[in-house]
Amino acid sequence: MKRLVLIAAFAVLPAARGLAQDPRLQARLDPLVARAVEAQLDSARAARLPADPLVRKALEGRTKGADGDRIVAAVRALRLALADARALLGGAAQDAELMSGANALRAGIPSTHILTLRRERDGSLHVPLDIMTDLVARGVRPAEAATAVERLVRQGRNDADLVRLREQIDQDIQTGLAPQAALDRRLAGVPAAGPPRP
Amino acid sequence: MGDTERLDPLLERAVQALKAPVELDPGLDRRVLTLIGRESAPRVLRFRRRVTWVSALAAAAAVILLVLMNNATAPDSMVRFAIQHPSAQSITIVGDFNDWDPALTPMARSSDGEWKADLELAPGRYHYSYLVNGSTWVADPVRPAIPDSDFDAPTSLLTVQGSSP
Repeated sequence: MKRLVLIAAFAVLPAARGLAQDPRLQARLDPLVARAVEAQLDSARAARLPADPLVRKALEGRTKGADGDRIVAAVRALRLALADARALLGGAAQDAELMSGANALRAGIPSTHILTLRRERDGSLHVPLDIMTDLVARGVRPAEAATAVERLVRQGRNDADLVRLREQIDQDIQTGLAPQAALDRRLAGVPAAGPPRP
Repeated sequence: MGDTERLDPLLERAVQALKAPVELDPGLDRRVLTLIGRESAPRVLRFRRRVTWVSALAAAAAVILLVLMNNATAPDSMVRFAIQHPSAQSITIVGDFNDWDPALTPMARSSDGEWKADLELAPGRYHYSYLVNGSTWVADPVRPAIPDSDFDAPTSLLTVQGSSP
């Protein structure tokens, strides 16, 4: 019986090792680059960080014609941002929240604002973090975007309120208002104290 | 004359002893069966225990799979991608939703020079770009572009709302 178990273990071992490898990388990246990216994925998994965004980052680099060094550097930078997000958001943060945190950090949102948000709200922060990143993508300065969202969360505004604010700012920008002016205008329309939390 | 008459008395006794029926200890059968049982019963038990564990693991895997399948059935949203580019020969969308594979999502050109594609996307956030004529990267003019310091190519950001806004 022991012999059977050993044989089975050796038979399964390569398959188990194969589980750690992403076939998309093997199919589309140079073998050396794929191996370097796999090493990043292993580090991410060991730290309980999501690996799929790292795979997509590598594939994005491949499609955009980046060389191997640049692909690996981009994957590593994203992994480090995810690790920073984990440190700021806590061990209970889910993958979507971690990715939002990493995107926010990479957009220039100061980590102190993320820590403040964490203190203000117990639940998932992925929507407030996404809104911060979106405001930066629309041209609002990172610190201003962070302060605005932080203020709304402190007032007890829920995720739907934040999404609505983003839509209103989008409308204002499309009508020609500068991003910062659009944010200021919409914040001015927000009552100082929000409705009580449900 | 029989053979035994010519044998030595000692040998004669030995022959008689060998001819006598052997009486076995009545407890021998029980002792032998017990010894056999000590060897074989644990093996059977161990095998049964392994079968039980394998069954339990298979059942647990089935439950996990069902839960994952349930979670994966969040309703997708149909998203329209469109870009005006009359002079383009081909435009494809590449992004997180198709693993950045330029072959997967070609856009269709309408007579007025607008290129369109409709995609069913699960709730989430996606980075993407348009690839014009297989070589030029263009951000979506109607959605926010994000700086791409990783690869220096225009990239847009799309949020598909799900159950949570």
